[in-house]
Amino acid sequence: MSEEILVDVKNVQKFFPLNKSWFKPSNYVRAVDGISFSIKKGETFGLVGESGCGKSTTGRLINGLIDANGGEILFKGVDLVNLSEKKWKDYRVKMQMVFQDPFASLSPRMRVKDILMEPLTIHFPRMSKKEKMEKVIDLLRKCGISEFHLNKFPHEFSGGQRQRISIARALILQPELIIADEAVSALDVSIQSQILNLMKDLQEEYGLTYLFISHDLSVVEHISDRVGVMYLGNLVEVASKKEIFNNPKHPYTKSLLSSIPQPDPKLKRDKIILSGEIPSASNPPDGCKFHTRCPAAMEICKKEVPLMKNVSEEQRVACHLY
Amino acid sequence: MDKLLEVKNLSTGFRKEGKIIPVVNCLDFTIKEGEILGLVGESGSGKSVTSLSLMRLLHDTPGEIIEGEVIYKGTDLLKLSEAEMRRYRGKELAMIFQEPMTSLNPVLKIGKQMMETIVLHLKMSKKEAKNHAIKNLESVGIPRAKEIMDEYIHQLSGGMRQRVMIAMQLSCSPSLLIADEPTTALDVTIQAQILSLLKRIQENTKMGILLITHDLGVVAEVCDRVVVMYAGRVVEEAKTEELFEDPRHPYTRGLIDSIPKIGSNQKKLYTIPGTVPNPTEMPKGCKFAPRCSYAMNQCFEQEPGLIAIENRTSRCWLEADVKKIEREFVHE
Repeated sequence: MSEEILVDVKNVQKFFPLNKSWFKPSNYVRAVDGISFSIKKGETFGLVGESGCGKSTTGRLINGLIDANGGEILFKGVDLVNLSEKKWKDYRVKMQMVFQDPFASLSPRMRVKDILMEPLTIHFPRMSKKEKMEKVIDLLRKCGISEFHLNKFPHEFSGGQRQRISIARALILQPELIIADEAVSALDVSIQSQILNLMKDLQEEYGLTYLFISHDLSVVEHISDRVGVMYLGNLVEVASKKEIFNNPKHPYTKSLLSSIPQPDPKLKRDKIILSGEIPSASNPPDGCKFHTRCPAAMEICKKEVPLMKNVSEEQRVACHLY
Repeated sequence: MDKLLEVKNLSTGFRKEGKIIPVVNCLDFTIKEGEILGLVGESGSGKSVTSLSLMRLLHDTPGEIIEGEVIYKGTDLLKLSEAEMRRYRGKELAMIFQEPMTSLNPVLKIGKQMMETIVLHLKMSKKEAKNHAIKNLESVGIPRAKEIMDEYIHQLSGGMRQRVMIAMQLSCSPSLLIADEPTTALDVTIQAQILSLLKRIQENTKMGILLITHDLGVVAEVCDRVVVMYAGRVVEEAKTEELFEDPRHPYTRGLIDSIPKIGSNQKKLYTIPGTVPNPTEMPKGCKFAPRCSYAMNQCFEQEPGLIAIENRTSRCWLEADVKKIEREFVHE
């Protein structure tokens, strides 16, 4: 893994308007509320958090599927936020997405070969049909789908196979960054492990960089090099995998880790069970957004928003305790 | 401990083009009083069909029970008339589902839905029923119980909805609760709240719980005993600790090894090759044989029965002749 930074996200914001009306002042869901992190070339950056924390929105912002309201997203030094639509085409080739639901993300009316050929036709119009076909067959084989299935439709495959096709589709343009948004969450464990292994193999072979978005900490621990933890639109902790899982600093990270059910009945842990529920992102609490559920909340947490601080070279935390 | 529910030789099938295709096959298991029994398996293994069969809730599906007995405290539920069964449902056996939003009525106020069950089964007056409902909502940790009685289910968050569902199902103090993936749709921090709530209630009321889940982590955390299902069959049954310490069936072993474990630093995860067979194209012999790395000739020809080993069972030919075959389950 090099030290070269592939993606640099700086103070990015995305607000979705609610109840647009002439008479009411408009209210916003602060889906992503000023987050900053960077992804190094060749690494897997895991983004974790509970539903509604803004992790998927972050992935979509980087990929340009939605536009940011503010901040900068630098991809190899080029700001994507203010990029013209025409120039975007060059960058879309370099980053691709794999979605959660392989039943919804593959067109039901296209054959497997067409699903994989389409991106090539758009981005490499001069490539011959034979060349394209060779590429498709080669990549599908690497993703564990044999040539024999080329003329089939997505509904003829199982969930795991469909996810393999989605991964092949994402890889066909030889991108540098793959954004995997809950890519294994809909799969059974035995299939999930197949896909995780496949993703690791492909990363080694093609030198890919992954942004791995998931709610499942065990999966993130397995695949990631560095991890960012999100809560209500903010990053609360960013650190190397080792630090996050062995030495978590933020009270939210700690409680998140202790609430994962572990497949080991002999493990008796003191669970930190958080009280209350996740507040609404349209009306988040003042100060630190986590203070309403935090077991270590102090007076200052109710008033002041904690800033991201470096607690060590590899670990940044946004908490008044540090 | 007494037997609370005994499932004997239960088979359920789906009707397709005039034929019945079995999806649950010759199921045998027992739930004792005051225990939490986990039923695990991947999608398509027949866990949910099992729970619907126990509650006899299959009429909205193409499914029907082919044979078997479900003996609850000495009565065979499958022999009861629909009217008699209705007296058991909600009172003696209760069920909670994965997605409370689709299993509760969206156009009835929460209070009304709760009181309906209470008035029907406990023969209380409306006023008594209301107080009883509020008391139940409070006992599952709902802060504004009185106000919530007048609200609708969509006004609540996922965790609160599941609490309402639990309160509703427990309002008639059932002896058996069937929980079908009760925490699958919830976030981990909320899942931890709901699991600890279920455990607390179970300790206080001593009811039996059948917990259906795909998550071995949840099983390890709350269950006393586990039944593992594969392709509509029980493949292994054991005490939770024994199952995780020494899984006997190659499928169970593979399932446990496939989960990424925190702090284990595995480079590669173990994988079970292939996928779950389609119910219409079941392989001959052991249903797991095509995916099993220990499969022998015998496995492809004849399906093994559940073989008892001390207090546990496993459906595997390896157990039949343990001494002859070196049982070495080491995955590299």
